[in-house]
Amino acid sequence: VSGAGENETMRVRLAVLRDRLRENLAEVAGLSAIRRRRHEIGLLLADLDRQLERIGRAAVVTLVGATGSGKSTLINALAGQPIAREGIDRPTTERPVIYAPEDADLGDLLVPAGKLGASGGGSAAERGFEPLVVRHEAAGPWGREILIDAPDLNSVDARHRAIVMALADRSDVLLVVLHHQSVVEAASASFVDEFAGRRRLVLVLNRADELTEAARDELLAQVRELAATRWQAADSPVVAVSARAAQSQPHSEGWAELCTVLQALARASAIGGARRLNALGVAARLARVLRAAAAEAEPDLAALPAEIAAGFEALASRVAAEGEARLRIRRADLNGLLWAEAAKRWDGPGGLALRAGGLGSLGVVAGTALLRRSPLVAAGAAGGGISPRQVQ
Amino acid sequence: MTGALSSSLRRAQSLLAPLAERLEPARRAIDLLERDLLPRTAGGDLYLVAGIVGPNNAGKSALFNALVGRALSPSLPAGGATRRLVGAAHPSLLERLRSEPTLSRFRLRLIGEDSARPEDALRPAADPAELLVAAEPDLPSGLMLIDTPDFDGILGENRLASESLLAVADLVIAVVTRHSYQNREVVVFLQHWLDHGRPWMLVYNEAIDARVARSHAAKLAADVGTAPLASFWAAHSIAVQDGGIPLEPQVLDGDRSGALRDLLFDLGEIAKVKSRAAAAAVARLRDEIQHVAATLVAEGEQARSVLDAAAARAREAGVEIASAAMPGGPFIEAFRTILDRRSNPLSRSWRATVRQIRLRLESLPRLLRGRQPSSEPGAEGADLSAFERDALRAAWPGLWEEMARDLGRETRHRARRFAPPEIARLLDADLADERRAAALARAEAEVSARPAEIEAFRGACERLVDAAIERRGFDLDIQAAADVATIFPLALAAAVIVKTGGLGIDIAVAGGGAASAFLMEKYAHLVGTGIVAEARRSWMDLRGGQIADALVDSVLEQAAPALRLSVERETTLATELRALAGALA
Repeated sequence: VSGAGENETMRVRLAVLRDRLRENLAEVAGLSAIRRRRHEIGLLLADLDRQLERIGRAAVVTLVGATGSGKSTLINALAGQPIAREGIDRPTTERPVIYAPEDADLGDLLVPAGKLGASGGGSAAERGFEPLVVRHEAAGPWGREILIDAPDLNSVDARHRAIVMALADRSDVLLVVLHHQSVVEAASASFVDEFAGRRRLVLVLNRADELTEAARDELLAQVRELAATRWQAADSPVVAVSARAAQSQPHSEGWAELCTVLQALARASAIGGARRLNALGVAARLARVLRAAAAEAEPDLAALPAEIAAGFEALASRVAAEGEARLRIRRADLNGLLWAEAAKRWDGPGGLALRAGGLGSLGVVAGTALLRRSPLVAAGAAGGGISPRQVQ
Repeated sequence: MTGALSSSLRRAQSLLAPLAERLEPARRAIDLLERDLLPRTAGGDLYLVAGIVGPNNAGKSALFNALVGRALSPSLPAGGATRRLVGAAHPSLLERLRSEPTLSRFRLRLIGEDSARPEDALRPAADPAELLVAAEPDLPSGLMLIDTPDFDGILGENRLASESLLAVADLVIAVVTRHSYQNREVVVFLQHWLDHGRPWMLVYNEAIDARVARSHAAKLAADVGTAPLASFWAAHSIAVQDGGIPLEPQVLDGDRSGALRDLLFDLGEIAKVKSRAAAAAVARLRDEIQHVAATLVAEGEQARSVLDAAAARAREAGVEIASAAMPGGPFIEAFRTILDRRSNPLSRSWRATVRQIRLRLESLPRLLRGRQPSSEPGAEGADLSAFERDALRAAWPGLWEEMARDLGRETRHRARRFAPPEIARLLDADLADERRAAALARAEAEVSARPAEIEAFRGACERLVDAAIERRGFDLDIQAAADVATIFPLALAAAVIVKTGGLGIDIAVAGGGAASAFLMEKYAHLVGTGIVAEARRSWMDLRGGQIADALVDSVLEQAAPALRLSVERETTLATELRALAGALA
């Protein structure tokens, strides 16, 4: 009862957080710094929505890892029965295997393949994502926990990574299965980068029986180092196991530890705590994205008033310059217009010249200049300026 | 290597070197030339470079150490120890390479000399192509064996070191395990670097058994697309991981047996591999050259479309500016010239008299002041440029905005959107708002610095007038009108000058201009309408094009020369590179 109450409180809190975020983001959505990050923000908000939906449902633990890390062997060992196909040819698992309690609602874990957006879209991908569902007794060791065996995240078949992404999106806990070649592999590390902080991580170094003790310790140290520095998840459990050996001898040291970790996580209070942390992780990521956007937008916003003022000034000077240019080019026409207007009110030889129009004005110049010397020559000059129209 | 090939390679080097900084394929080609093909040609195929590559913790260093015979490259059970290129070669080969550095494909740091120690391999080198190398008398003298860091890990410098080896290696030895032979990264990386039939060997390490190893090796070879020279396998072993026993892969193919070491150290095999490697390297160079040529052609096309877009806008403005003023002098002179040419017996005597009068009248002002009242080209030019300057200023805002709209940062114009980044940068610099005034000043200077093609226009006018009079058939009246109209203003001007002495010169010049304009209309009227419009069109065409060129040069001050260079490159350099690639085939 207390678990249900706690779930309710958390649901309300998350919903409030989600709504507030939506409002705040809508206010700044126009900023280009935010627009550039729209996709990332959208993904994080969708993740928050999904987490909100999952509250109260069974915990989902997905096994993710590189090719050959032994995910199928590990889930078989956990289930105590061969539910996933193990193989020596890679990639082995195309169809995810969902190991769920009898009464669990699988909800969005059964997404149709088309919605994945996986590249290719051939029939293999469609077949591939139709998960194989194996039910277990809710009273068994895994209680209400759903375990999923996912395809390889670095397989030659690029569609597999998209499937793992989709499954990880719908999980509460990622059980990262590593082998001695995938610990520092870039493809694996970058996949975990994507989910670090927003999913509880359990890091398992599998195939420990194929390693010397020194190598195992060194690799475990490398995993812890990655968890602490790269993923900021120093509290994630790190265990070395041999899933293959565990199928025959379930009480080996690392194996018992892993089972304890997983069963502890499956408890309602524990999974509630993990989900709270996951939601906080999403919020922290959002905050990081928004902080970056704010840092980027800040100088722009600070410069805005000056920019606007400068813009207005430039506009005003441009309008003035343009007006002046137009005036200059039309000056001749305006002159003519003035002359014509003046001519209407002025008779005599000067008036005659004025009526002759633009060309006549030159005659007038000559006429007025000569008038001072000899009226006779002035008349001749005025005659020279008679307009072509009158000649014609 | 033949002399022809060697000269083709040198030619490729000289053509590609100036492009290397800008074009990635040119950089790769130069790298290939300078570090691989040219040293190879110079040294007459002195030695074979065999490089061991693979994903992290696959056993590369264990294999290298087993081949060399001692723990030279750091190899730890947890992997990741080797952080740079580590090599081994026969002392005589190293001595030769050190005395003739041009033969070496790497910058060598010899262990024991150069203050280099084996532990340096645990730290990355500043230059990924630097090779930490040890002299090993047990190796064949024609072999340089090199170990690399991983190429799939989270450390970027490891990948760079791997790639700098692969850029020049003759033989690639790829080490994978049953966990990594289907990793996307591994397959894509090998596909890329084993292209063009470069010889390679596959070592499948940590196998369960030979049968599984064979099927997995076949799958990887099929994914990579080139069959390996040979495949090898080694079983998973804690003792090998621990360094207790050496990693000695065995031949996986059915018809052969033996260890990797035997095949690799076999001198006959080395010679065979060398010639295949040389052919693959030349093929790779050919592809890169074709790639560069294709890039240049694409750039040239983009540059041309940017220039076309700019020219279209500038032409509109140029025609508008040219239409502001048309010089009347050449038009009138065209009439005179044509009429003089078309003289007949009747008109000849009359016209001779008239010309006498005209010449005497024309010489009057010259006698007085040494100045000419009629429309001489200089005066014409001065009037023109004043008109054109005003028209240019009026047209400028529109031109600038259209250019900025079509070629600026926010454009949707195809030409600009697909322009190469440095062209885009130049366009942005040219079309920056603060350059607007400077560009106008430059345009004014450019337009007035390019004198109107008066002579060409005169020719065009003469052709027009000739054709029009020919069509009309009868020209006596025009001749008479022309003569009267020519003499009348001149006589007038002369009278003014004679009467007024000095003062009248300016008035006479003004009167001459007025008379010219009048005559233009008169002649045009006599031969029929349309001729002025045609003359105007031909003027706008001639001068408009000239102004448009000046406008493009001044608006796109930096971009225009770069664009023209790019267009030129497309035709010259790209063609030559293609021919060169053909010669390498």
